[in-house]
Amino acid sequence: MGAYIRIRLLAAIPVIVGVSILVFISLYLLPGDPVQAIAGEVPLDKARVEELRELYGLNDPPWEQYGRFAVRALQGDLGTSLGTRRPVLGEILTFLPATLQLTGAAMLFAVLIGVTLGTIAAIRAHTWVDSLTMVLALGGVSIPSFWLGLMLLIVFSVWLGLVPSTGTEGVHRLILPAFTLGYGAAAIIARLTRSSLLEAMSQDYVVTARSKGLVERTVIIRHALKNALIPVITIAGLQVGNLLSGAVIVETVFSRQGVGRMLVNGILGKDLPLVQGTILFVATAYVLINILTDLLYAYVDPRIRFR
Amino acid sequence: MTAPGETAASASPRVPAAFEGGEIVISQRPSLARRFLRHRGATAGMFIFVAIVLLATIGPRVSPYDPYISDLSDQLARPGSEGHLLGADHLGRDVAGRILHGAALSLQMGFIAVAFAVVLGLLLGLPAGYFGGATDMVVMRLMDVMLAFPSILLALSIVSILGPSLNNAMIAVGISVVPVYVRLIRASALSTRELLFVEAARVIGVGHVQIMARHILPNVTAPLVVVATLGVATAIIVGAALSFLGLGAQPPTPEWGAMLSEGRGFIQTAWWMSVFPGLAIMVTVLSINLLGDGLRDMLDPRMRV
Repeated sequence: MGAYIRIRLLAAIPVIVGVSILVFISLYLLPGDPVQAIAGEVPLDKARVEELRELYGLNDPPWEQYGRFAVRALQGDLGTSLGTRRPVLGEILTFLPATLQLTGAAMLFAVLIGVTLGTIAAIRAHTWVDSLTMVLALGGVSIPSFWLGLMLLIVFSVWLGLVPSTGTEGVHRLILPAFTLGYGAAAIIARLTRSSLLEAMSQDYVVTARSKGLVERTVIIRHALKNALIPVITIAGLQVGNLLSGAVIVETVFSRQGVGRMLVNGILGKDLPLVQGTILFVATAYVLINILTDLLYAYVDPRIRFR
Repeated sequence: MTAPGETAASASPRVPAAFEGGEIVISQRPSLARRFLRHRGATAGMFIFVAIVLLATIGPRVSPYDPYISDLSDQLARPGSEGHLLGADHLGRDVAGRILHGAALSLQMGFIAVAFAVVLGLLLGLPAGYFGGATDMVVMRLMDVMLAFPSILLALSIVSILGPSLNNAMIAVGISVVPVYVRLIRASALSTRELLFVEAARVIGVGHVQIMARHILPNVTAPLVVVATLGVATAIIVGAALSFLGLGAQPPTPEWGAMLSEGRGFIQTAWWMSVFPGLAIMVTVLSINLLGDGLRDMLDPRMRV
C-alpha cells in the first residue's frame, strides 16, 4: 500500500505543475498589458507601466517569472487580492469553512439518498418502484441546480416561510442549499448503485449465500451490496469535484458567503490575483481528493493494489 | 474506459452470420429506425426536442412581443393576465415571448459548444490514439492537466480570461469539455488501429491522414454520437449557469439563465419570473437526455447503465 501511495503522489506532481503553468500563463493570455490587468480599471501612463513592469519582474524571462510564481505559491503566497488588498490565501481560508460545510452536507445527503434509492430500485427491479426511482434520477441529471434552488426557495421560504432564504449561519440554513447541491450527485449515485447491485446479485457468491439459507436481507446487505458499493466509492469521489464547483452556483442562489461566491465576485470584479489563486488552490485540492478516492478504492478492493 | 480487447471484439458488428452448432444462423437485427421507435424514452425525447426546435425557429416570428422593449404598464403582470400567458417581468416584458426568443440561444449554446469540443477532440484524440508514443504522451498529459479542474471551474477560468459574454461562454464550455472527447476518441482509435483492415490499408500504402479519416473515424462515431448528444444537454446547463452567474449572456438578452438571474431578485413577488425559464431549460435538457439514453441503448449496449 505504501508503494502505491508513493506512486500516486509522484504522478500527481506533474499534473499540479501543469495546472500552475496554465494558471500562470492565463495572465499573459489576457488582452493588453498584464500590468493593466493587475491594476484593474485605473488608467496608467507609460512611465508608470514601465516602472510597474520592472517592479513585478515582468521584464524578466518567462521561466524566471514562473519560477518565482511557483516558489511563492509553494510557500503559501498566492498573491494579494486587488479588491480587499488582503493575501489571497487568507481570503480563501476565511470562506473555506462555509464551502466545506456545504459540500460535506451535500455529499452526505447524496450518498445516503443515492444508495438507498438505488438499492430499492435494484431490489424491486422492473416494477413501478424501479421506474419511479429512475425517473427521479433522470430528473436529477436534468434539473439545473440554480433553478432547483430557486424553486425550493419559493416553496419553502416564500410560500411556507419554513426557512430563511439567505445567510450562512445555522443548520437550518444548510438544508436547502445542501439538498440543491447534492441532488444531481444523488441521482448519479442512485443509477450506479442500481446497476452495480443488479450485477452483483447475479454473481455466484450471492447464489451461494442464498443456497446456504441466509435470509434475503442478509444476502443483499452483507454480500451483494458490500461488493456493489465499490464502484460507487469511485463515483462518489469524483462527485466531490462536481460538488466543489457546483458550490459556486448554489452559494450564489442562496447568497451564502463561500469560496465559490468569492470566485464569481472576483471574476466579475476583474480581481485577477484572487481568481488565479483560488483556481490554483481548488484544482490542487481536487487532484489530492482524487488520489484519496483512489487510495480508498484500493483499500476496499485489494484487487486494485496488486495490478 | 473500456478494455481494448472488449472494443475490438465488438468493433465488427457488420458480420452478418454466425456458426452455431454447425448451422448458419442469420442474426435478426432490426433496423436502427425500428429500434429507435421501439424505445419509448428516446421517441418521447425526440418528439419534445423537435417541438422545441420548431418553437425556437417559428416562435420568435409569430410572437407579438419584442423581448427587449419594456412596457411599464404591464410590470409584474401575473400569469394568465390579459396578453401574458406566463406573466410579465419587472420591466413589463412578456415572459413567454422572452422564453421563445431564448430557445434559439440555448440550443446554439449546446450545439456550438459541443461541435467545438468534438472538432478539437478529433484533432487531438485521433492522432494520439493512432500514432501513440510521444504524440499520445503529450496530448494525454495535457488532458490530465485540464481534468484537474473540476467541471464548471475550467469554464469559469476561461471566462475570467476572455471576459463575460454569450460567445465567450460558448467557447469556454466547449474547451472545458474537450478532455472528455479526446479520451473517448483516443480509446476507440487505440483499439481500432490494431485491426486487420487498418493494417491492410497501411500495407497498400494509404496515408496516415486518410487511414484516420476513412478507417478509424467510422469506428469512433457510435460512442461519439451518444456522448455528444448527452454533452449538448450538459453544455446547455453549464451555459445557462454561466449566464445565471452573470458570466455569460448579459441582460437584457432573453437567455434563460440570464432571465433566472433577473428573476432571483423577485422571488418574493414574482415567482413566474423564476419558474418558467428554468422549466424551459429542464424540459429541453430532459428531452436531449432521453434521446441520448435511447441512442446509447441502441448504438452501444456496453455503455448501458
